Amino acid sequence: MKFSCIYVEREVRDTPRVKEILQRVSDTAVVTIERYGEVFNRRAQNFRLQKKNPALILAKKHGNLVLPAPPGYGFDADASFYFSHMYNCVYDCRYCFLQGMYRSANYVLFTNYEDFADQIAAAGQGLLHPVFYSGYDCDSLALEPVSSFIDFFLDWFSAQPRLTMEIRTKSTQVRGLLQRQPLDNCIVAMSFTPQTTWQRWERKVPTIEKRLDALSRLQQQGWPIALRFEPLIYSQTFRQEYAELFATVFDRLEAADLHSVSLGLFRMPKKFFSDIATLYPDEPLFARRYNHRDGQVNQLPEQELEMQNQVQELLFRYIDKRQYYHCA
Amino acid sequence: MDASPLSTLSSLPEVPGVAPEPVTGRVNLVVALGCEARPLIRHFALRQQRVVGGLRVYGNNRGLSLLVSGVGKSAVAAACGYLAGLQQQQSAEQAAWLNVGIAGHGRRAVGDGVCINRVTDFASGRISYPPVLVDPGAPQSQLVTVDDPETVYADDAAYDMEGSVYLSTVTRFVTSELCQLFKVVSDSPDTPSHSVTESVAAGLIESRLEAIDHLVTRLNELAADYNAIYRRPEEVSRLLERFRLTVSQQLQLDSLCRRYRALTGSRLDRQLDLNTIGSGRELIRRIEGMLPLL
Repeated sequence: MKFSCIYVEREVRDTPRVKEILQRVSDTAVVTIERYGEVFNRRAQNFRLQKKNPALILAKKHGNLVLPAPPGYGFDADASFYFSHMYNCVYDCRYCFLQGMYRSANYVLFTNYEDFADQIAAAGQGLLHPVFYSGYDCDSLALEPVSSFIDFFLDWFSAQPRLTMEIRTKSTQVRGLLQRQPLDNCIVAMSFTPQTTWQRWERKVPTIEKRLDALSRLQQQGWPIALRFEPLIYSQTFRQEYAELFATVFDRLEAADLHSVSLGLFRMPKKFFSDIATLYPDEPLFARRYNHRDGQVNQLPEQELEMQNQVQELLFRYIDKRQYYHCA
Repeated sequence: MDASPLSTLSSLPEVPGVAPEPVTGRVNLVVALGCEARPLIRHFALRQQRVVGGLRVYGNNRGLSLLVSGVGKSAVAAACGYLAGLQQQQSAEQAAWLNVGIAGHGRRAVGDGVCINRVTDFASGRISYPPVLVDPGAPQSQLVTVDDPETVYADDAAYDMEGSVYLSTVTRFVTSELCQLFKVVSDSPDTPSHSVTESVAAGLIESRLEAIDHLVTRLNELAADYNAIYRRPEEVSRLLERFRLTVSQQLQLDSLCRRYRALTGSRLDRQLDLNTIGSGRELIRRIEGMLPLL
């Protein structure tokens, strides 16, 4: 993987993990910085131009590293949390809210994994089966060859059977998982959209076929896997597109063995949407009519209802309703 | 440039009585000295377009401008501010900027070309990080901008007298991705700056023309991409000539025209019968009704 430059916070510069990471990308210029915000949050940045050649920032995350998951986000009624070891994603999905959330397209990798683990343990204390979602502000696996993030956390979660981790991803970097014994409490959740959406809006994302191949190998080896069909973006031919997608997916995977399957509609906070629309004034996705209400941008109510109902009905041809949840 | 006994304009030919021309470059080269400008003028086939005070602006018909700013922070601030203001008056297009010059360096050899990824203003301690989006095929380096000629070269960094203020001035006008710096090492602990003559400086820039040319080409593409995305649609200007709109309505019109183009691939004004629209408010309402759902 190539980066335009690597910025390293002075505080982590001499840690073993950062040294290892720098060895993996030894042909890239390294600049020492004090805090990642100097580069990541500076003024006069254009996310779209930066996305052409992003830099990597290695930093230490301070404060609350583990946060309660938004209501309705996950699959379990038990307490759930999310954590972000990274900001931004190596993929370039046009619908992604991260484009409106951050000024910079550079990747920030927080390398103090041990602090994340400590806070996960603390958050899970006294709870029966808490769930921890990884991949909310990034892709959990896509930078694995550089970060070894999952490698660390699989080791850690293997000793914490009461805690569950969802590894949310669109990546096919599953070699590290395939080299291990499966863990019942680590679920690989892969996101999919129909072929037309992938072609139009998911730059750099592996093909559906490649992702299914990775998932199929994980499933055959005994890893719990889950499917996340999101974001659902309305089109006049969505029913046909999802019928084809589900036929392809469930031809490759054993539906009865899936941990869970969810659907989630395309929506985002109004401020993010407005910033992304300014960034991409030529993008039809943001030129459409939307419903703006209570600080959120949603697809039109009749579109949402029609799509949610019909895609759900198609999905239930393959899976048991008990495996399903709707992601709010 | 690093401070050395070089003068700003002495090596440039005088062109008396030059009539001002529009300066609408898509890449602006900024150099401190005439001797740094000379090889660039020749290579890019530039000709003098304006002389204002101590400033000279050169250009060619391929969208390249070159500004000879003079040495030091205040000179480069004034020069870049002047050119940016001038260009904004003449065109809504954004230019990319490239500061080229000779510099001292604490570690690198004389003649090395470096792309700058961190700029420290020595006097204020202020640090900036120009994004290095364009790979010139040259190594990257930090830069320290000093007020007086550097003689110690303490850090593994380049030393100049303009870079920090060039960056802070230009990024008031353009996004930081369109603002880069490229330095050619002219002096070092082993080769002090007083040995750098005008012909040496010109030779050093000349020796790195390939990298500079590559940077200019890529920055030109980047600026072209940027302008293609963000320039105001023609139809907005046409409609504004015909209808009197408030500032808020103008913004609405701009947004609606872009959305219509994005959704349909065509210009909105061609679908409107303008003779049937009596006011700006009606124009906005009519256009809103024309936007397709998807």
